[in-house]
Amino acid sequence: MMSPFDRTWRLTKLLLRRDRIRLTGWLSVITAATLLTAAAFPGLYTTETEREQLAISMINPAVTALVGPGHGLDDYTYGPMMAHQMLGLTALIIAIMAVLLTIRYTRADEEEGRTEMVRALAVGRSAPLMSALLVMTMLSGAIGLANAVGLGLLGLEGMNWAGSLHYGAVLTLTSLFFTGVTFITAQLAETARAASGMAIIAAVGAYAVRAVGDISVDILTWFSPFGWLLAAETYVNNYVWPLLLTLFASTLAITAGLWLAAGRDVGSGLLHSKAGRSRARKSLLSPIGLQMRLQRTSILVWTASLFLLGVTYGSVLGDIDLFFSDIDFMEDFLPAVEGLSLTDQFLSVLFVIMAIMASVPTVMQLTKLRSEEKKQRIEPIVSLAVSRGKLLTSYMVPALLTSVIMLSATSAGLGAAAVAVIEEGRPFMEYYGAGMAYLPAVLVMTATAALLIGWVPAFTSIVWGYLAASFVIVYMGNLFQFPDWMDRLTPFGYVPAVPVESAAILPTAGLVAAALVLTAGAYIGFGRRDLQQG
Amino acid sequence: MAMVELKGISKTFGRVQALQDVTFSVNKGEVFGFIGPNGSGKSTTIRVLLGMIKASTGTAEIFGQDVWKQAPVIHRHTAYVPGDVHLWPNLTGGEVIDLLIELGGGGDRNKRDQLIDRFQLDPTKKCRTYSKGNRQKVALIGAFASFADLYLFDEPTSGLDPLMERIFQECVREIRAEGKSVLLSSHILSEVEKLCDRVGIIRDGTMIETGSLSDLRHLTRMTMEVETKRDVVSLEKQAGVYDVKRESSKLTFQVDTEHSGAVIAYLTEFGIKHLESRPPTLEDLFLRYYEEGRQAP
Repeated sequence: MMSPFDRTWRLTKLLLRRDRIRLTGWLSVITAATLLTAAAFPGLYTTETEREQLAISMINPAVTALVGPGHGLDDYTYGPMMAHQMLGLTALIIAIMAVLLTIRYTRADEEEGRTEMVRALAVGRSAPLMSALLVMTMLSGAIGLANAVGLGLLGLEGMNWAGSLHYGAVLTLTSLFFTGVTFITAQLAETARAASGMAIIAAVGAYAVRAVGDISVDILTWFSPFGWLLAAETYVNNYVWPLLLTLFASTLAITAGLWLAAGRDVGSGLLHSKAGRSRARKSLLSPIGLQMRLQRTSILVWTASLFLLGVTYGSVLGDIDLFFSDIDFMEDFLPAVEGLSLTDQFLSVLFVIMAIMASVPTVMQLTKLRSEEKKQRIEPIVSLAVSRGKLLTSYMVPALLTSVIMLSATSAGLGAAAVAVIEEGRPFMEYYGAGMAYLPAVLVMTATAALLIGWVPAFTSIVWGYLAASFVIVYMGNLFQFPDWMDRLTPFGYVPAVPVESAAILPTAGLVAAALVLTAGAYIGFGRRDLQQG
Repeated sequence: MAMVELKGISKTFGRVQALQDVTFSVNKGEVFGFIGPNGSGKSTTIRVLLGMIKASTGTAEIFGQDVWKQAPVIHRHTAYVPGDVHLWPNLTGGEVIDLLIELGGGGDRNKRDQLIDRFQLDPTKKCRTYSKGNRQKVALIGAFASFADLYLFDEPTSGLDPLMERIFQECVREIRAEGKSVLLSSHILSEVEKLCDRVGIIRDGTMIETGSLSDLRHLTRMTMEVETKRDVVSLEKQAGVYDVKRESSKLTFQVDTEHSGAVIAYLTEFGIKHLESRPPTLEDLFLRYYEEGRQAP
């Protein structure tokens, strides 16, 4: 009689062999990010005064929501600093890693038919799942150990071995817990995609619940594993009970997953996805309606992310003068301009970054046309009574909307947070207006993408290079002391940096005109060229 | 009246000549079979007809209008099903069918529902979960339910099971009975043989034959199998006789259709015990043209 676990070890070795690059990749990237950040701290905040100022600037709801509550702020050495600024976000990334890898070794293998092939061999029925569990446990342990040893060896001020081991244990347990959660969703959902979707929502949701708990509704913190682990006060008190609690919860989740798996057929899910619509809504039945529907989720996610980015930037504005006055390289970065506070100058840089970030989802609306062409999904549309022009419009209009939505979201986020943290500052509309001033530049970028798609579709991705180059030029131009004319190479360089500079009509009108000319060129090119296959 | 009219269509991709001087027409109310091996230019021709790519030279018209300049106008009255249907993974089959019908200039909602029944498609599932055959059904239902006068099918039954293939064939017969026209590109020759009034054969981007099946059969040879009382002498020397094979008393050979009468008369002299003649199948025709192509330098 074969045991259900027969050949587990053999399959484990297969997974390790198959994914040796992916697994070592996750391990080294996460460890490197932790260690490089830690190693950079002493250079950034040399004196105790600087660290105290940093601690003060960190006490605001936006930062707490983003990274978790600060512990040991009264003695803000590098250890507590790490646990405060890095641990929460690293844990979140590890949670997502655990979800992706666990799905890869469970449902994805099942969907591709690999599990079926393996199960048909002389292999125990639980062996595939057990091998996935073993691999994830090894990876979780390795990440914790590597981070703990690395931090311990760095041995910065306030970074003792006990705390470093605690830090590593938090990471290991996060990974284990979400491996367990994914074990459960992998049994519930009907497809790998749905299973990873559910688990990622659980991870991000748990982080959000923790954020709300830390800011306002205290009790919520205890409903999230991130809440437990960040309350363990790594490098300050190194509480062990939250670790044990998480370990217990992880074991429970993993066991539940294994138990559910035992009663499930290969390729099915315990929850059945509800039937979709058998008829289309009226709103879908136009080329633009189709695009809006296809891009809906991505627009929502980007809007929320850019709003949060705005809030994050805005919430640090209050302490900006304090924050940066002692950092040497800031002087190269933002050469002092007479009569302007550092905050205002920093603001103008922020708006450019946010505009470039807002360009990403906007340009993506257009490059989607190219990827749809490659996937042969515009052929069904063009074979119907839809002209090339109409098709391009169905991508241009959502792009235009996206640009307005994205710039609004990030500027409003920044404005709202800035109004809240700066006493006697500018009114909200001034921030909002300064952000929206970049709309014409974003549109030029979008029209550039359209032009490339219209004339040289194979080179569409040049637009991403151009956007990256624009970022380097406007963001780091001062730092690298680029000549002034380089600013003129990117549309973002023409926008008057409100509030530092005063608004001007001419450059704005010029950018709008450029966007219109490029767009006209795009329509001409796209109307004349052959559609391509693959 | 010609619904589709191609005259001297050529298309080059860089240095590759994909189509050369392609000329044929599809008449009103007829099902035109467009056959040829893979890579011979069937899909390229259909893509030209749909205005997805522009012919390098020549004229192509549907309903008497230029296929490139008037594409969206023409498409209000055409329906197209490719051999490999790519759909949006997060829309349901039902949503996609409605989209295809609406953007194609409207269709019959009752017919849509009947077709979903006949093709046994679950329209509530996301396209992501459909097999190739089911994606094919989505496009077929969208096409047959729309108000079209001309249907362009590019290997439409690939991935369908034989039962569904038969339903497809029924649907084609129904639309022909309504006076609609069909261009059916295929390499399932039995399907073409069953459905098509006329066929065109394309090879290496060149049309090598166009005509009704019986016309084409006239152009070619039939296979004969004969047993005689006495040994047949010098059959090989008779005009129009090829590939003589002897197997004890049985002879198998091919003969040009126009010479068959003379050959039978000649065989009678030797006392025929048994004679069987078989008209060429489309497959014979096709293979003959195809093999000639391979032997050509």
